[in-house]
Amino acid sequence: MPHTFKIPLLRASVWSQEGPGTSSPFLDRAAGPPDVAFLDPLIRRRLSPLGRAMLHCAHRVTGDLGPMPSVFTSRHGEAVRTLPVLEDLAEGLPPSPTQFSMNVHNATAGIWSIARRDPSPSLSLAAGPETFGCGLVEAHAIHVAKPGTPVLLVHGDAPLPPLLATFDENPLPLHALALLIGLPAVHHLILTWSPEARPPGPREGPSALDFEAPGGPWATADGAWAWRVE
Amino acid sequence: MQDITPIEIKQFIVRTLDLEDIRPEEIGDEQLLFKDGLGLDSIDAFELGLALKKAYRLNLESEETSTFAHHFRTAASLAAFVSSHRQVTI
Repeated sequence: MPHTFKIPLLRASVWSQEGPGTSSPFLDRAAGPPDVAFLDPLIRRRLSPLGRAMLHCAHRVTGDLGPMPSVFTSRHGEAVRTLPVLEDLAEGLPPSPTQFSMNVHNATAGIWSIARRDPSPSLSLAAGPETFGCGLVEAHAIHVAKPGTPVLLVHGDAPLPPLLATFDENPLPLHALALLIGLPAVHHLILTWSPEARPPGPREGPSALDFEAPGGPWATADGAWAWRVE
Repeated sequence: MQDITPIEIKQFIVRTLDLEDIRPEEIGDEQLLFKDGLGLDSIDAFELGLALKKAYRLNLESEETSTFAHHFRTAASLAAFVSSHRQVTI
């Protein structure tokens, strides 16, 4: 039986290395490099290009709002940092402490929480090609449990390093998307998950880059995703 | 070998730790590098120590690890420490 989630959206911001694309009154698309000037220089210096893109979008949807729970999703996370750590270890060399501490999947969420002095719960997820869809479900669940507080969902991915690139069938440019989930909603994202369905077609989950366009069904090993924004 | 100067250490610190908004000459010779001084943290201490050890091939065998915090206090103290323990010129 399909599961349908009606997710209320307050604001959205997307950034892509390929350029700003078209904006809509609802969707913010800033041009130029990610702007993380709101972060203290000593904090932001440790952010990777991916982390900068993600926090750029996160800041644009949250503005001056107070503490809120957050979900950070990325399929590949900080792979560009993990690889040099593994290469150093393989050669018997001590890895860079900075690379080591910042290659974990919740590194960007940690910087966000420190910079905003926000002790709210935060989750960092990876779920293969379904990462963005699973993040939406998680963020929605947090919102349903406490509808009065908005929930921040931040998604981002960067191309894999050349050594690992063959693991990604559909490589995307460096990109990030932040959604502020809460009421009163400007739009709703209707997300449907059909565990029994096995539609033919690409085995890819929902893509954050074109999330405003109706999408799916995307087949995965366990079922299918579909969605639309209304 | 010639002594390492504090400005060389400052340049090394800015380069190694990606201090994007700080110029080496803005760091005082006797300014504390950590916490309330320049604001570096424990990860920076590890990063800096490792990078200095690699770059200057520091011989630290005779050094008690408990003295490191003292040597890493300022650019001046770090320059003196590297000068007395290095095995190469870069």
